[in-house]
Amino acid sequence: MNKNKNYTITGYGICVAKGGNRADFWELLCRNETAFSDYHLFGPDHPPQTVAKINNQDIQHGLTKRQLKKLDRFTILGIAATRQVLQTSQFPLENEELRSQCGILLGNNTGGWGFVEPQMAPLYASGMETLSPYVATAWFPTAVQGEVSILFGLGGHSKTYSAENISVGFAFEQALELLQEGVLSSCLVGGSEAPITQLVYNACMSSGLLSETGKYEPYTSQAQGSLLGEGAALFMLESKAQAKQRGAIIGATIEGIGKGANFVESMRNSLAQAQKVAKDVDYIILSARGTMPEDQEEYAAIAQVFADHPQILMSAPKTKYGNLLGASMAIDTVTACLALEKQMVPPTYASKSTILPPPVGQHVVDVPKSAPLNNILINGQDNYGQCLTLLISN
Amino acid sequence: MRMNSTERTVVVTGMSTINPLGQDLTEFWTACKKGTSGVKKIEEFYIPDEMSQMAGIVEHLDLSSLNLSPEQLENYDRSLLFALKSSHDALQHSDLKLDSRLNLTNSRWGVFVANAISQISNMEKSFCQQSAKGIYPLAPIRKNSGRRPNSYFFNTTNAEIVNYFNLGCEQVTVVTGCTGGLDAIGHALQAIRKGKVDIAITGSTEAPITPLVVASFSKIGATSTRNYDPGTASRPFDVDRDGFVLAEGCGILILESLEHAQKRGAKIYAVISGIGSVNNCYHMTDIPEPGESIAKASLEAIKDAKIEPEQIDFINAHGSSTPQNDVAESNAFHRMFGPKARDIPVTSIKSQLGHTLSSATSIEVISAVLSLNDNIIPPTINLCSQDSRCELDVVANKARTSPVNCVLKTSSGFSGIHSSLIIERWVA
Repeated sequence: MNKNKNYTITGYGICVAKGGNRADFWELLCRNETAFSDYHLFGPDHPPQTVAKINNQDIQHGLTKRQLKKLDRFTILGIAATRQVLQTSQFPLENEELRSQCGILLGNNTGGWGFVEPQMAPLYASGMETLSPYVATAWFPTAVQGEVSILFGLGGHSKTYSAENISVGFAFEQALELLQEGVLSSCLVGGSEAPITQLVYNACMSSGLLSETGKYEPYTSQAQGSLLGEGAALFMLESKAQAKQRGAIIGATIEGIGKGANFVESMRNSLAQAQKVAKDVDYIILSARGTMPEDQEEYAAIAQVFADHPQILMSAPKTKYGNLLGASMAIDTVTACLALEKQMVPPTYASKSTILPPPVGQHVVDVPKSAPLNNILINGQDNYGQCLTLLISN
Repeated sequence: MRMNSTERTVVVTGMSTINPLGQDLTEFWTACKKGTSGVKKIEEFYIPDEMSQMAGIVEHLDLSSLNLSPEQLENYDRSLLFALKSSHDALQHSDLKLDSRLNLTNSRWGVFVANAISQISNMEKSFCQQSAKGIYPLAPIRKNSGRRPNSYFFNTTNAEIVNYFNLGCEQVTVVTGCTGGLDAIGHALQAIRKGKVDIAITGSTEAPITPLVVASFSKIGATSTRNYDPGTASRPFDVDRDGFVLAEGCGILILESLEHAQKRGAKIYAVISGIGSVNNCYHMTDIPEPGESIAKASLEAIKDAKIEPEQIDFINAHGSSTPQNDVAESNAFHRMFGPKARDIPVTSIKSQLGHTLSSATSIEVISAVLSLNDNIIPPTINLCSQDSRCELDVVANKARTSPVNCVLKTSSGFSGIHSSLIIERWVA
């Protein structure tokens, strides 16, 4: 018996560029355009960077000016997404017992450099007295978890994980285990990231992660890295029994979480945990790291695992909103939930002629494709090659 | 002790530490039992008088056993160097030869080493290089060919440990601030219990003595300003305590399933049997004085370990030397144990080392394991006049010989997290 089946997503929230809620996000995924734009991150004297940055007015955070003064953008985004989750899941915040048994498990990989960066030059040039007293609590990755727990009174076992693009996969795994053990009765899971800062951008560029051309073209022969985006996505995860009891809507289930040193291992482990076979899977959300070797390795792994399933569909929705690092898999999970709801595969943003065809299956490009969808795989890979695959089911 | 047929027992088979008291287990434990302060004045950069000017500092770091190239020694963050050296020594201590993985064909490894502030030294260094120490605005830099470690990613240190030892295994970084080390050990405990991995390199590492970190804690009044006498500044449970003392260091433990350890004939130093963690939902930095959340996390750990509170015979406290923490912890212990709280020996080795953020907890777990093995509780130094609100049996200023069988390790961190761990004597 796969115990994961007993747990469901009862609500979710999202905030990315041009996708400040799930309706706008779905529209972005299906439109033939992206959320990227040129942004003068280093000022007008330097060439712009191509990033997917959220307009401030699209972030429905509900915070006061006083609160905003203390927080980095990744926390503000996390709070905005949390408010949507609490609303869509109809989580009873007035129920003290449920709140005390609700945990927060998040992914983040770069913390709050946007808050600290403007203070670095005064710190070094003028002295240590110049530093804001809020740096200590705004900068570190656990800030979202802490602020959300305090703001909404969620007292259960809570942790934040860093594993680059697969951080949220670990958060989901822990959430399911803690729910199954009875340590938690519900859990807010997801990720938040705001990496569009000068230092983080330079670090990502220098380390080889980003594309210098201003184009994010995974699965093409021109692929040479990703483009940064920012945002947050969170979910309320709880038992179906509890959801039924409190009249919440039962949504998708995370039936399998598989890890491995490569995608063959992670996809097979995910299928095994979900007690499904390759033919049960309808659609794969690709990791889209955006380099030829990594993209081709993923294609080859799919060909190996899905050799007997030539109908398998795949796409890279990240091409619309960018690489969100520690929040990446959370955004992909929203995509999966929406795809299951709409019975539609959102496409990769690219010219059809440039996408290299996969050895097995069909890569959905440009135009969304209607299809019966019951089981979706989400592939993720970190910057050290570790792979994690989620299996999301209706 | 938690022993059932479906979940595996998790044991400590190796450990090592680098901290202001020593660069290996023996050096550390010898100094710790004596009650030594590792706190000194920070000389590397100017700090205004109103800020904390001292730290627990690791001096004369010896990395010769790692065989690193000059380029690696130059480029690796100090926290990573600590972690590599301690992991190397902990593996040796566990008698797991680095090539033995090849022989243990069914062994699955995990690396779960926490940090609170990642590779902050390298981050600040890169800012200074790009801006000439804040004089020039930052400008975009070009892409390098090939992948390079990214100091701004919080998973880099953990992943580089995996790379260095060529483990190719599961790895994730728990980034929960000052409870991080305990949370990482808890993560490893769960992974081994459930059979997901057989052996884990776990613990935490931190090198936070930088202008940004020193200033950020000073600005909120969290750190001591007893600058005139650094060696006495960290004074948990003392009525004159005025904040914690920042420190650097690393604590690494090798955890294994009991079955795995016994199969290879490993020496077992302790059992890690329970973890509990909650949020206080109160404040990002303040701790509620009644100590309810600390007690709740500790009782969850006790429940997880399937023991009774009465079995706890030593508390290795968070004891950060802040006015709030020590009272809240004392209240938590009274809430949990009632009048018996006055009789359970309590110590805080932060009095000797200072507070190494996430790695404080893993160093303290190592200290607790050594207490279990030697029946010696290291002292809380600088305890001249115990705060009357902390009615506890604090092991003051001199180590105590006392039977230790079951240790409660507590911790608290920013974000309102409280995590506790149960460590028990191994009885064959």
